[in-house]
Amino acid sequence: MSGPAASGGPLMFVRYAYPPNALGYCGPDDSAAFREYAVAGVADQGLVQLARAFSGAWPYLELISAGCGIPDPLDHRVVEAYWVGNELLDRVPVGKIGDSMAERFRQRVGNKFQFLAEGVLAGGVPHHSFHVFGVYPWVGLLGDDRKAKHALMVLDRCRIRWGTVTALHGDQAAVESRPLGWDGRLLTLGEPATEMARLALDGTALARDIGPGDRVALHWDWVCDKLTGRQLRALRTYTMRHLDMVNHRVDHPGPAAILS
Amino acid sequence: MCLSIPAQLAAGETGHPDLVVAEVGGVPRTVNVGLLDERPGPGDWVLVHMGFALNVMTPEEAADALAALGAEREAERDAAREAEALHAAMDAGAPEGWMT
Repeated sequence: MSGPAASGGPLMFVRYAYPPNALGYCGPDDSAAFREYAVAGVADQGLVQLARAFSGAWPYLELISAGCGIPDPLDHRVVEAYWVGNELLDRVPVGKIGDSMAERFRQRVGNKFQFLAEGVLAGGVPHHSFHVFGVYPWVGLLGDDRKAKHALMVLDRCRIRWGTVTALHGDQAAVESRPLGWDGRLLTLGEPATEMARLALDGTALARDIGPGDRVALHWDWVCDKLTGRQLRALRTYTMRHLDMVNHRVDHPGPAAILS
Repeated sequence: MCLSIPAQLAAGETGHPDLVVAEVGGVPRTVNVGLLDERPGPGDWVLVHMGFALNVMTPEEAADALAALGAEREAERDAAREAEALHAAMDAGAPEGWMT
């Protein structure tokens, strides 16, 4: 695996997966080695091995690639589908999504697996926002007043957010976006607010050539990518689909609390 | 680790009442225990997700969860080794059906 065309998917994976990896939340322990790939811009078997260590994301990449007949889980189209969203997501057969979820979670949760399956039956597709809102335990913790504030913060930082760069300040960018809100009953997107997000660390940027006016993707405290108009529409569409799913179309939102 | 993982609390000061040091997958990490009803102590096991302890676990529950995670990771490593071997064979121009 080498060359610009082949490296597009793996390097896109680095851009989106590095922020939680740097915080110690996901993936390989050696986040510096993982980040080096973003610096070098080279994709090789070493990067593929590191990508496999993302136990949350990797099975979804395998699911999308297998469901769409694409041999490489790090194909650019597959990686884009998972993090941003594209037409591949609706081509993955519902049965395959259910089988994948069962393989990963049924043994852990026993007869409560039906709660996890609700999201799949409600139209959930293998997009990162499905995992954040439909599988992670945090939506289930919103109902606890003492935990709701932290839960909302994790949900907002963990989802891929979108926003517009309004100014650059050294290695930081001011980005206007709509933060996630919780009114005690529904998860919604709030009024636009400006936040400072990291553009680079020690000279290493995940997204290149960012300037005011650019539409960007944010993951945790990083600007991780510049979005095209098509990607922005897809990210918004799939995020809103899964917010609607968790707000209105499942009986047991936040089912992964049972993973505890 | 994007899924919840057991961690054992270690001794050590972080300077913040909600933050403790814990061994997460063999790596020392700072974990926020502020969401728990009672603060656990060194040696206790907790279930960690995104840097927060969500539950206290018994040592038996932690051992079971770690065993399950270990089995999953071994399966992942096997798959990675197979993929690597396949790529190496393709790079070397191995004849079709070499693996059968």
